[in-house]
Amino acid sequence: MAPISSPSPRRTGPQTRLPLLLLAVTAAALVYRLVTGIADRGAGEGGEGLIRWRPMTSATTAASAAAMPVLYDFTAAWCPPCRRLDAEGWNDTTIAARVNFEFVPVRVMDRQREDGKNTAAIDALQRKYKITSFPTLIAADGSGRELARMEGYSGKAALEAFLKDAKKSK
Amino acid sequence: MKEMIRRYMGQKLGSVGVCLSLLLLAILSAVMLQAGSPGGLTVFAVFVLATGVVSRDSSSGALQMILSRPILRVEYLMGRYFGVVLALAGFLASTFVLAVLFDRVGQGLGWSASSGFAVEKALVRCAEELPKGALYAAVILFFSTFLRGAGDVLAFVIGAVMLSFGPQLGMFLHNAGIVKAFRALDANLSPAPEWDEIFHGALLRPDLGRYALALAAYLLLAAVVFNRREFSYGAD
Repeated sequence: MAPISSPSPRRTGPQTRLPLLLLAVTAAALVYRLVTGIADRGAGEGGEGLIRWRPMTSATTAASAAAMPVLYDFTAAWCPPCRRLDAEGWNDTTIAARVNFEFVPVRVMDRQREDGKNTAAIDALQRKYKITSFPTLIAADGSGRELARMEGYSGKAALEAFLKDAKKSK
Repeated sequence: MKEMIRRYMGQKLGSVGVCLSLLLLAILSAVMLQAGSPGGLTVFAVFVLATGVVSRDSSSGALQMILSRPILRVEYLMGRYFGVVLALAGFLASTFVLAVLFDRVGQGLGWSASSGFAVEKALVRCAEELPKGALYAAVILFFSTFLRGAGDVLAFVIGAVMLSFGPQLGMFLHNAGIVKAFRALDANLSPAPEWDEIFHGALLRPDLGRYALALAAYLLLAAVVFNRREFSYGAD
């Protein structure tokens, strides 16, 4: 008598095949991730330091909702004082905690030198706050009114004093 | 896959509770949109649409019936996922229409003449919510392939809470390493690109790269886990 063959488990059958399309999409996403990572290398945008930078577009809305001032960090990748601010200021846990809890921090990266132009939103913001040098820190309320300004970076003590003043002047 | 999408839509939108919940959320979102704030309620709409997106079918035995037909498991899974995304798009479209309607009615009654509601801006805000919601749905789909009942949403919430409290723990402990580790995790597991910039053509952004990879990875992981599972009637 022929032995009764049990059906093969479903998970090894053709029903569990991964379609090529899904694999191709994932591979394309991985390549795209690498390309955008390489394209951004040196731009220093976003995740540096301990500050939780918020999107520029929703900053004023978030500030109004939380009754906190917006803290704009106008910066550029090529600017040495900006790198000092990143390394000393935004990497200090006390300063970072103050910024994260008392402000809506927004990083505005100038790309004029690298790309020849900025996006319209960055241009508009730079014009609005009359930015002429980097780094410039602007504290503004939810309606966009400037509360305090710090141009250049002259050390952690000055940064702490600016943040204190900016919070008080709200 | 189209059939799976249709099946999902029939299942979800055939439920009065789901429809009422979505309507209530759409009204609240429309009011928030009118006030200019982003539609933070999208995540709740995703919860309504995606809770138990796979696990409910599995526990009811419907999944076993479906898989007895000659279809790829991935087709079923992607059908569920795109069903959620399509329903979410409908929810956001309704939110936008309601916000415009409220504005027009308000203007007609002389209430909102100076509200500053801008139709184009509201449209962009709604459009921004779709990719955000699509990522949430992918995460929930992944959890739903191996967790029971509403465990998928619970895992999503626990993960989100851990990602947001991790950096604060690092700050509290004055440990920059912990903060950076959680920030990196957050940026890669739950990327939040600036959609407004992207809609204006800034496509080579690292945050968009992280988003695309995270979305694709969640879907691929969901497919791999789902393919490896054994399902038996009523035992899940």
